[in-house]
Amino acid sequence: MRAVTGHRADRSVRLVTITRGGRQHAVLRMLVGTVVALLLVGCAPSAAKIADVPTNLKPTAPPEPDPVAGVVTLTVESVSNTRPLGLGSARAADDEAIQGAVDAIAAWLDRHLDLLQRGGDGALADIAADGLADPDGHATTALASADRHVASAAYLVTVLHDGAPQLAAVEVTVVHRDGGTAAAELLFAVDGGEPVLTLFGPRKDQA
Amino acid sequence: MIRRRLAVMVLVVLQVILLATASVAAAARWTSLSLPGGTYTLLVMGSDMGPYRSGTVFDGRADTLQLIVIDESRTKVTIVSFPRDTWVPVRGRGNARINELLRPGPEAAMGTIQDLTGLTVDDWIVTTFAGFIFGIDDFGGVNVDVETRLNNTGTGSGADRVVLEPGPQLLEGREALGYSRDRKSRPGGDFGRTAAAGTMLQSLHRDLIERAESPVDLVQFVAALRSNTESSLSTDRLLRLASLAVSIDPDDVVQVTVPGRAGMAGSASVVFMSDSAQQIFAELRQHGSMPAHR
Repeated sequence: MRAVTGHRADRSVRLVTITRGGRQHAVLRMLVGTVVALLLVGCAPSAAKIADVPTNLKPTAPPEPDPVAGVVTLTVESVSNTRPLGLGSARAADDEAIQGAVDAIAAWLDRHLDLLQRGGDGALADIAADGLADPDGHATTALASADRHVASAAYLVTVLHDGAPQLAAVEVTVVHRDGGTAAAELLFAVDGGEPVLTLFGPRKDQA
Repeated sequence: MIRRRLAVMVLVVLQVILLATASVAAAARWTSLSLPGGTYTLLVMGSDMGPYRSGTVFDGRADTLQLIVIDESRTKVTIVSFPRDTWVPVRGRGNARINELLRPGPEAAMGTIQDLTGLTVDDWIVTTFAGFIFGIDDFGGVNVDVETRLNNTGTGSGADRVVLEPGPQLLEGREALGYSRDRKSRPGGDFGRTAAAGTMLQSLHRDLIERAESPVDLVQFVAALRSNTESSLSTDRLLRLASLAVSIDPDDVVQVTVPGRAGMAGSASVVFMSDSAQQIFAELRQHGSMPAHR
């Protein structure tokens, strides 16, 4: 099971966060993602390897990219708020199912980014809804390529649940070895425990 | 002073236009699948039960009843608003006011609207007074251009109570409920209130376009909706619908109130649908939109 940082938003917190502070909250989360990703660059193995290369050797093939292991920050919000409908108590979160969905998404993102930095097309087809392609490259070529290896990646995941997970929103921030960054936002519907990529696009500050 | 005010107003209008344009442009860069083919219809119901009155959302009468019709091109939307006293055959109830359609259950409610209009109803969504209030507040309020002074200080459940001056303003949940339900301050009575409920949906659509600047913003909208409604919409379909809504120009959303005339059914004061109502339904069956759209 992947280690995550994060918090749960109970009903009262969620109301405040979403209604009045939603936009500030989103901006703050973006900043956190970028800062986390940038901090990770300093301790990424690839950074040390590049610095250690002796300068008196003959030019060799470009270094192999390191496997990607993004850092997950998780927020869980309940949408099982049945009291305004007179339908009784909210359903308790199924933690195991939520963690399973988050693990599946993070593992897919790691694999997807790894394939991209090795010159492939990524693994979009493995998780995308039938027929969902990426003609503009927001979820693929914008994130990594053979020329832009991943130094670190941060996944800010928000899961909405009504007991079982329903929806996962992921803000992906990638820092490349050359210091550049890339980002995208991806929304997954989680039906029957399996995440399916339904919608994606550029992050707000890049739109 | 007048020039200054005028300049400020022009600036505000320009800002709103720029924001809306930027959001629509952002939405155009999102990638998602659309809804399955053909005309899509969503039945939107506001139940008068739930907190503030006893019972659950399904025990109530659907005092607000709107059918949202999206044409096959996914560019034109028609909001068909039904006056709550319209006297029609209701599945499981016989001839009754149309607001009785929820009591036999939401599936039967869809059936009643299908019988009435000849349109296939794809999904339903329902909320209560409290759900509506919380939902609007979770959304951050709603900007409405109030068409006339509303001054209803009556008693009862208090759901209709509202005092609002005319003009554009941001309404919080309780004010938005009063705006949608008040029929005593409006010249058209129940017809006026029915039209106002449609205006409320149009206002929410405009605000969604302005506020949804990125895919993750849609999550806040979905959370507000999911937390305060019951519906047949799967998460996947809800996301597709939200994404589609952001890409539709507000000027391509029209609202029509089902025409009728007041009358009596026994001792009950009701509304009988006019013949022209069938013309509206026929247009929507054939084209998925109204002639003014085409």
